[in-house]
Amino acid sequence: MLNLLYKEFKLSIHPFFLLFPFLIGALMLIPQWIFTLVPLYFCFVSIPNLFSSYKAFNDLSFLAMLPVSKSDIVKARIGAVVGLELLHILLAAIFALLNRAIYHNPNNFALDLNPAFFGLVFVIYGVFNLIMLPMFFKTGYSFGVPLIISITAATLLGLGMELLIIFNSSLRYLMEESGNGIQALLLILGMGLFTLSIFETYILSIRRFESVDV
Amino acid sequence: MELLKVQELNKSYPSFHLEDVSFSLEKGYIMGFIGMNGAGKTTTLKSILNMVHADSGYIEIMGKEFKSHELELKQDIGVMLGDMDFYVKKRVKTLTEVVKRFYTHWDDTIYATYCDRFNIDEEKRLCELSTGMRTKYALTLALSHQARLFILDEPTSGLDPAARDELLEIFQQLVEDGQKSVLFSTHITSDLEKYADFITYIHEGKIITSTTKDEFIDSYAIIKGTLPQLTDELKELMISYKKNDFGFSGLMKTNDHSHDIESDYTSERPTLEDIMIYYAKRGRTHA
Amino acid sequence: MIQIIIANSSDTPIYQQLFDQISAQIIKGDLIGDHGLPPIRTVAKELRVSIITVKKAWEELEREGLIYTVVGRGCFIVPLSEEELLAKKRRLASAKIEKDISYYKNMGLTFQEFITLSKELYGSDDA
Repeated sequence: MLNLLYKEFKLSIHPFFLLFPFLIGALMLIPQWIFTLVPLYFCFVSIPNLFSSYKAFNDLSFLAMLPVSKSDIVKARIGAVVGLELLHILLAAIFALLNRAIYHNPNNFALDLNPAFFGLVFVIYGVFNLIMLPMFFKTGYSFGVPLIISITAATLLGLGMELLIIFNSSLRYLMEESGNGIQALLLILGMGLFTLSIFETYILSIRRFESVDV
Repeated sequence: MELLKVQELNKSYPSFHLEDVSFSLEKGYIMGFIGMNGAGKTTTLKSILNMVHADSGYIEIMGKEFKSHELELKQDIGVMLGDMDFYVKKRVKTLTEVVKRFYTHWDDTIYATYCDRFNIDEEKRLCELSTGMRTKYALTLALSHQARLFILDEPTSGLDPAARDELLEIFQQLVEDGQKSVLFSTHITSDLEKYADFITYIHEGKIITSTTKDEFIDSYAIIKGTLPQLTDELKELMISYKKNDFGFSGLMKTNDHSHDIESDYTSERPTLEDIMIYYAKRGRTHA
Repeated sequence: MIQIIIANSSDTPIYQQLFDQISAQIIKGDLIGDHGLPPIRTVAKELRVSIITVKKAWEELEREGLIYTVVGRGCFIVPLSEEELLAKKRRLASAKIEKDISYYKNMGLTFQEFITLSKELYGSDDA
């Protein structure tokens, strides 16, 4: 598994996508913006590039040559995606703190940058993974349709929440005006759901990938 | 001792079936796995390696059931399916760095020796290597992790005659110590005519024969004669035949024709290619 | 030193060529008793022929009583006395001639014609 993760970062993932979280994270400094776009850029840009390079590099035939199990292949792939997501979240959070330090006024017309926002980011990634990866592992190489569906779902969830808080005052209260306790709870809830989705993603992916003829 | 044992492998696709594929390969020999394109060579090799899920069948490698010891056994198998066409933009050095981590018996000294012998430039990118070079690199990797069974799908296709000859010489060196075996598929039968110890011939998803090369060739004869000699009885006996304006030629099992052969037939020893061509012809006429 | 030349396009099977050449060298006395033959796998690799082919030739040689196997050490030439060598020479030669003679008989070649032809073909020095 660790060897496969090493392989992901040494061969498959272009170093640019390790730099990308910094660039995208910096967008957190735009004043008054729709910040759910920041984590979504990972889904829009990194994921399509990553999966098209798997295909272009014939990753599957490389893996077929190695003494690895299918479950390890799935674990390593999920590990690589989740690792990149966490990197994105970490850097977005750092830039979010910078944002709060620079502008002093947390009131954004869309979602504010607070712990609840990051709870939502975890959920967005969780949903994205849960759709994208099991669908991808149905074949192990074709990623077009899984990508369209998972991106649509993630975008609807992210931008939908941005819109909902404008129209729904109780949701707005929950996300933006609740006390520290509830904010922390929402963040932890998001992390919990993200963790659960990783397990579910793994279970579904491996079930499908096991029956794939390479 | 048998390094590889394949028993009654079955796999159904909508338009193609592998049917009761069985054969085995002893330690220390080269086996050529021959058949036309689409006969089921790659599917068989992939089923052996559990990359394709067979509907039924039993695979044993080095005395162990493959599926339940897959990871352990894959440590001792060198696999090359088709051209090495993955991560072609990466340098040889980088690929090796990744690959070696997966093998417990990896030996850097062996690796260096073979890189040197095959003139593999580690700084080059895979796409800068010729097809023959890539094949040698794949073999180098397999040798460095001390594989004992080499399963290679069409390793000679795309190579020029000199490179093919060189590769086959390497195969012979591999098996010289009597510990390693090579199973390789090919449709270029001239490769096998000289070097292969065993031949397994697959035709339309079924194994026609799996035996020593000499026995395989000796079990067939090409019969040539004039048109009046081409009786219905003879037609029945032949696997298939070709007619021209002056006569006919056909392929027969030697035990089928030895009893009533007339002296004025010409009987010839076929080449592997002849056997494949006549079988393919039968496939078409029977279809 | 054993000399072997393989003709790949010959009608004679390769194992037969191996047998013919090595047996001739033994009978002629070029290869002496207890002299070791190179390992089968090395011969196969060097001559670029299959291992099975070499094995088969070696088996034939052993059946003819020309070589013997020591387990774990390889094959060696059987030390033969002059008389034994002569007997083997006769046996192998007559087996070959026997095959050809049936062909000559079929085409109606008389014994006298056969002798005349043989004399001409054999050349002067051995006649």
